[in-house]
Amino acid sequence: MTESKPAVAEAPTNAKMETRNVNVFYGSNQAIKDVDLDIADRSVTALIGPSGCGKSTYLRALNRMNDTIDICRVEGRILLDGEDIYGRGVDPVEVRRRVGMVFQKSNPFPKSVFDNVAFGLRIGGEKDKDVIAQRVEESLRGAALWDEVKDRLQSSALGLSGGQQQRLCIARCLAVWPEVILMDEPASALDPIATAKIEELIRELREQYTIVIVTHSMQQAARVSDSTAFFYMGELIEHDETETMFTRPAKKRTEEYISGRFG
Amino acid sequence: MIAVLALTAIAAIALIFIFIAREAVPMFWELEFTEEVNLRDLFFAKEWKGYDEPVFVWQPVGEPAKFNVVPLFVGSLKVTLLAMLMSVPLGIGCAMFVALYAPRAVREIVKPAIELLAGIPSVVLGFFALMVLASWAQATFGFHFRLNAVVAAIGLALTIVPVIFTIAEDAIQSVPQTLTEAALALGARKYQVALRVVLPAALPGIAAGVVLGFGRAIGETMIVLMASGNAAIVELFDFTTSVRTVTATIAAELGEVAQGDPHWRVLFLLGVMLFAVTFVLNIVGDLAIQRLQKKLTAS
Repeated sequence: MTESKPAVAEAPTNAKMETRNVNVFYGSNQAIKDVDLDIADRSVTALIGPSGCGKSTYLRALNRMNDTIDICRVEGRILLDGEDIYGRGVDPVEVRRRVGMVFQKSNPFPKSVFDNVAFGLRIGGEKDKDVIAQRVEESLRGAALWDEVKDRLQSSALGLSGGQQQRLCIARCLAVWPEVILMDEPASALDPIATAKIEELIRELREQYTIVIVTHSMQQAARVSDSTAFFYMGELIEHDETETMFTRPAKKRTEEYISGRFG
Repeated sequence: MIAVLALTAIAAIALIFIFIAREAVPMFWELEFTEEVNLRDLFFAKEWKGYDEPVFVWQPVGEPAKFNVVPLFVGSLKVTLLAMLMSVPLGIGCAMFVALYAPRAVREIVKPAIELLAGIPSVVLGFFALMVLASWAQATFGFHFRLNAVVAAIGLALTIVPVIFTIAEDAIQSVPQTLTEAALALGARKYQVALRVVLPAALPGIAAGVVLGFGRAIGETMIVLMASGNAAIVELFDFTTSVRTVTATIAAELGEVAQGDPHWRVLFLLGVMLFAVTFVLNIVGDLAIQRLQKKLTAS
C-alpha cells in the first residue's frame, strides 16, 4: 500500500497553484486519481512519467483546456492564488489569460510573426497600435526571438524554423501577461540545438513566471526544473525537489522509472 | 492511368468547346448570316425603325430580327449576382454554425438536409419557385411583376447554398484543431476563435466553394427559365423586373430554330460566350485561391 498515497513533500509556502483531490474523467474512464500537488510561485515544476500516465491531462486541467472536450469531467479543487478556477461564476477565458499554454507541436497561426504575437492582445480588446507594437517586441525579446525575426515581422510565421516557431508560440503566450505558463513537451519535436535554446529560455522565464512543464526527457526535467512530480497510471507518486527526486527518490517506482527500468 | 483519365476530361472539354464554336463561327463569312445580321448589332445599341433612340433588343422573331446579346448577359449577371449575395453569407454562415457551434444531434440532421437540397432536380425547384415562391414574394414585397429577378435568384440560391455549404463546411472542419486550441489557450472566446482563426484559415476552401457556386449559378438553366419571367429587359439596377438569362434563352429557343439559320448561329455564339465567361472566372478564382493559400502556408 505504500505506493497508493502520494508522498508530497511539505507544501511550499509560496504555492501559486494548489490542486486538491483532483480527479479527471474521460467518460467513465478515470485519467487522473486524487492528485494533490502544489506548484510553487516563480519556479519550474516538471511533470514526468510514462506515456499515458495522465500528466498531459493533468496539465490541461490547470487552465481548463479540458473544458473543450465534451466527455471530459474534472473533480476536486484547483486553486490559483487561493481561488478555485473551477468555481461557480469563474470565466474559463479569464483563467486561460492568467494561465497560458505552450503545446507539444508548435502551432503558430497562418499569419505574420507580428500578428501571431499580437493576437492575444487584440482579442483582449487592445486597440492602441503603439502599445501592441511595444508589447510584441517585449514578448519576442522575452522569448529570445527578437534578434532573429525583427526584420521579418510581417512575413508568415510558418516560414520560421521549428525551434523558432516554438519560441514564437512562447512569445505569443507571454504577450498577454500570463502568471503561469503550462508547457506540454515543448521541445519534443525539436532538434538538440533548438531544444537547448528552449531550455535556456525556460530557465530565464522562471524569474518572472510560474512554469509547469510536462516532459518525456528525464534529462530535461533535471536540467530545467526546480521540483519534479512523478505520475504513474493517473496517480501522483512522488513530488519533491528535482535534485532529491533524481538522487534519492523516496518511492521505489520513482527510482525504477528514473533509472530507466520502465517507461 | 490517371493521366489518361485526366487527358480524356481535358479533351472532352476542348471538344465541347470546339463543337459549339464550330456552329457559331460561320457567322463571320456565311452570306445568309451577313445579309440578315450586322455583327455590330449583336453587341451595341441600335436605333431600329420605329424606335426614337438606340436600344439593346433581343427579338429573334421580330422583323427585322434583333439579336442583341446585352439584355441576356445583363439578365444572367443580375440573377447570378443577386443569388450569390444571398447564398454566400447563408452558405458560409450555415457552414460555420454546423462545423463550430451546432451540437452533434443538430449537425447530424442539418448537414445531410442541406446536402439533400443539392440533390433535388432543378426542374422541381423551378416549379416550386414558379408556383409557391413567386406568389409568396409578390404578396410579401408587393412586386409589380410576379416573375422577376428576385424570385429567380431565390430559386437559384436554393441550389447554390448546398454547394457553398458543403465545401465551406469541409474547409472549416479541416482547420487543424491545434490552431483552435492555441487561440483558446490565449484566452480567445469562441466567436473570436471562429472569426479570427478558423475563418481566415479556411478561406481558400471557402473561396473554392464560392467559385464553384458562381459557376453553378451562371450556368443554371431550368430554374431561371421557369421563374425569371423571361423578358429581355435591360434594367441594370431594378431587380423587380423580369429578366431573361443567356441559359434560358438557349434552352427555350434552340429547339425552335432551323439548323444553320442566323438565329441558330447566334444561340451558339451565346453558348461560346457563356463558356468563355465561366472558364475565365474559374481561372481567376483558382489563381485567387492559390494566392490565398500561398499567403497562409508560407511567405
